[in-house]
Amino acid sequence: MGETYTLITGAASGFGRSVAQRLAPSRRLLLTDINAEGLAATRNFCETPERHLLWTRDLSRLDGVGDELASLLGAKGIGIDHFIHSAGIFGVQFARANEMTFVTRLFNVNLFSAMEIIRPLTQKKVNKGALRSITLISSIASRMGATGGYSVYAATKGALNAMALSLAVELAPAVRVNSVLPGVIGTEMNKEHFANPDFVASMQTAHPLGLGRPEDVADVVEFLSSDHARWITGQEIVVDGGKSAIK
Amino acid sequence: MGETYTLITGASSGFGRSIAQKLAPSRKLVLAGRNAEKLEAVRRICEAPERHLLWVRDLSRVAGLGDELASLLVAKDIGIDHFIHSAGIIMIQLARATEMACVTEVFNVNLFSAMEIIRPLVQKKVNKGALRSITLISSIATRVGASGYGVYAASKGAVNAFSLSLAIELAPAVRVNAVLPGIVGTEMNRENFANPEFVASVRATHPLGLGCPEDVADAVEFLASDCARWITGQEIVVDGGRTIFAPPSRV
Repeated sequence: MGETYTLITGAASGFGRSVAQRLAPSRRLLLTDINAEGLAATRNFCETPERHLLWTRDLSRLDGVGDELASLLGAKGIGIDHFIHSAGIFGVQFARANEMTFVTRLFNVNLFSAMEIIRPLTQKKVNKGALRSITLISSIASRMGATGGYSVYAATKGALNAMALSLAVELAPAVRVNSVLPGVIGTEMNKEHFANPDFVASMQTAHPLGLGRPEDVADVVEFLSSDHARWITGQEIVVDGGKSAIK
Repeated sequence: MGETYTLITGASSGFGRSIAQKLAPSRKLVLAGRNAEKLEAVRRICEAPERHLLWVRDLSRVAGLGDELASLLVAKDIGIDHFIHSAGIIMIQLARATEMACVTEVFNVNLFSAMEIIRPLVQKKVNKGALRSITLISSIATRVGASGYGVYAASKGAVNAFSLSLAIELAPAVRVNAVLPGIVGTEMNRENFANPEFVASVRATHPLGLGCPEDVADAVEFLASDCARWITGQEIVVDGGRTIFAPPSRV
């Protein structure tokens, strides 16, 4: 096997893009997303763009994700040392209107695709023991909420938290597994909310440290997927400007 | 609408059966499970068996679940006041061997079936606002990691977060809580409990020793009663102290 790459899902926007920009100077990246144009743009924002690879893939179409990744690694002769799952979709659905197509789509992207990806990354014959860490982007929605309609989204994130805990035990000591729980930060995923100045103002006052930025999450992800976090595994790191401390 | 019933899924065995026995003296029950014979056996050990109804349905097949429950309620002209989701399957599978068909089955039973069941229960035209509480059986697997438990833990972690978020959505009319049992001997893990070494390790890691299904049923009965009228969005751990115990290292 040749060189090792850090795999970032959801890299075309939001946290994924910020993580890519943060890590690009010091690593080779494999960037994946459903949005090919956004992926190319992310790569162009990165230092030494030619060093990074792109994989356009819709994670809501779950079948074959793991096998295709295995083939990609084999074809390129590369391994994955760090996996950062930043792909995530958000949606509001009230319990009285529960529809399984919505549930399936959110679970496929937010959770099941990560399981499918982790499978080949933990197979010796595919990844040759290269994996060092997994960082899953969860959400404080898994711990608290303000209003109705979030139960399915919260469920996908609560699942990530619990999976990280068990995987941390299963894959230790070779691989560390942690989850990051961001608070409400303006990204592509919630740009409609952040277009409303009243909402932005309320977010400012609700967070003791004021508004957060995607870079604040990228900083923590970089830390967790580095040797600085070599004795940290199975943890949920909340990055929310103190919101959960005051509710 | 006629009378109101407490709906218990997974009632054929394990926690569901214990919960049914505990609640039967004071409530009318709808006992749900996939095995008609076992369900009937549970009904017969309940107080006033004739008072309780059976719903034979395999929850791993989620399509149509909500609609079928709605039809049942309308046909019997009854409402559901308390929903207890005790149906659950476990799957031990290492990450490198993850099979999505197994993942889907685990999530269908442990979580998605509950979502589908809750839909008609919170629809005014079907359940007429009768619902008072939802109690979901989760697991301490969401608090203590173990090899091979990634998918099972994920399904229960989803239950926890779903429960918390739903508690906000349905307040104040409906309370929603999760019960997180420790390792208790039931049908779901009877193979493990047939192994004396396993039983010894459970004893050693649970400060209060071995638990039984009735211990979990007691907590569920409490949460689904007026004694818990100001408790919602909570995870109640019933584990004999397992999760606050750090076993001494073996030398």
